[in-house]
Amino acid sequence: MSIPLFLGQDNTGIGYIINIVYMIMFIVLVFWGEKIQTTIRLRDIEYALERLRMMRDESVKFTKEKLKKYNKEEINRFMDNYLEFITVPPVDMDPAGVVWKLDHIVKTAENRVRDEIKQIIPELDDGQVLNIMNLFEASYALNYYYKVVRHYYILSKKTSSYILIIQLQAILPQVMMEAEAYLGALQAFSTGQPVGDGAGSLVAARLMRGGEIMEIEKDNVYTVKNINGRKVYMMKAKGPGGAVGTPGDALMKLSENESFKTIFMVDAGLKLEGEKSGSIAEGVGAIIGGIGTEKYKIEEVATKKSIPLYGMIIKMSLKEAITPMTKDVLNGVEEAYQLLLKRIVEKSSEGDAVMVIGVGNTVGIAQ
Amino acid sequence: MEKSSTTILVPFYFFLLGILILFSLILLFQGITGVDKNDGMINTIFIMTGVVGLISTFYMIRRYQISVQKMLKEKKLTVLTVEECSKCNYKAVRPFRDGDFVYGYGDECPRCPKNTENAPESGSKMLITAIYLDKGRQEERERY
Repeated sequence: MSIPLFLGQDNTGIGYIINIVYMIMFIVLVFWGEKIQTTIRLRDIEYALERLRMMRDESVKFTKEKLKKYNKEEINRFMDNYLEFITVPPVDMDPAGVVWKLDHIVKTAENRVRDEIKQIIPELDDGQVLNIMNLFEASYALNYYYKVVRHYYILSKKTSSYILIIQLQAILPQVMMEAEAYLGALQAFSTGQPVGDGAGSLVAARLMRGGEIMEIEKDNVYTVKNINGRKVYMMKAKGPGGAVGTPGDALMKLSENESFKTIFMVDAGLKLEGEKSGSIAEGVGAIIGGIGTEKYKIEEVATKKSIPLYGMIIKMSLKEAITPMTKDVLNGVEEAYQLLLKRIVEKSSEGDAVMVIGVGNTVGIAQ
Repeated sequence: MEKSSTTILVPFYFFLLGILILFSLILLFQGITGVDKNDGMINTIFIMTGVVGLISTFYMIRRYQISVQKMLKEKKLTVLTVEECSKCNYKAVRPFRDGDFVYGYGDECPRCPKNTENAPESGSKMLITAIYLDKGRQEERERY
């Protein structure tokens, strides 16, 4: 038997077969090429969706396992309900006052969840309740990712929309990275380990060491110290439970009796790809994440009283922000602490009242 | 919790791989025993197809195993606790234990005598000054 080297040069049986196969392939690709590509892309999405489901189930199982020594049935019921919990944002057709409405709704939701956890497991202290809330939130996020991806997967399958499938496939790597970060967060929140997001809180905690700790508003603590003749107020969320506090409310309260000359804020910030974790970026403005209500309050105080807002962010990836704090981020905390001490002296005069706010989740960080 | 439509995909995937292995084995067997006694080339093609089929299916199974292992491995992170004695500045690093938190108290200082008068609240316990992940940098997953 001779082997056909080039198409059409061989007239033996195998040569004919290859020619026919090529023609069939050509026809198939012309008429069903897009369909084949769609199937391949959908297969990729299915694989990612299956992994998302595994992650969601794993996080739910992990949370239930961690809490099984308490009221097992009630916890399972609460967990299943919580995964479908909704917080409806206020109407924003008339934007005036929408921040306060949103603040009210978010606080109501948080209080409700916190109270329910306390009711189910009364033996937990406030810090442990907050850590468990963080655990539930990680499972909630994973469930949400899974449901949204599943929704678009089914929708694109139903409508056979090639564009929808491409869009979904394009954002999947980002979604999977975020989902894996939430899965990694379970360990930190279940054992109360500091996470990267607590970098700002850790800087404040370092400054607060040795001072008299006072509580103000919900989940915040502050202290006052003298640094080179400046009256420096330092504030963070109350640790070591996983609280983020309400620095906006606390600042509003403190500014009623004190006229601050400068406000410094330190927070963890998401880095761009290629940037070094733990590196510091300085700037101006209210450096705080979240839904924006606390930021609004801080900006209100600063604007009304013409207080300059300075701040710095400690850069990290999303994964580093919600998983146990890395050495790079810890080094960034040390650097930010030294820089902050320097800036307090540079940007204020003797006798001035200065406010330092360490922003972030303070899980595993006391004061 | 509801069952996903994709739940059946994994068993189906392995079912297909099983068929592929079976098919490859048949091809390999036929190639070795000699499907065409007169044409060695056909036999060689059968053997090669069988071997390629087997290699590719085992590669796919291994890839699935690695992805699952990697996912489980990522959760087992080693976290370290740094303790410092405020009196003698002795510093110790040990694995994290439940109940540790930054600026909480850890183990007794091995160098200092117990129950000193200077710090009655902590005795001779060391202060936890840092808790961090053993691995300096977490690897990002390259591909979902």
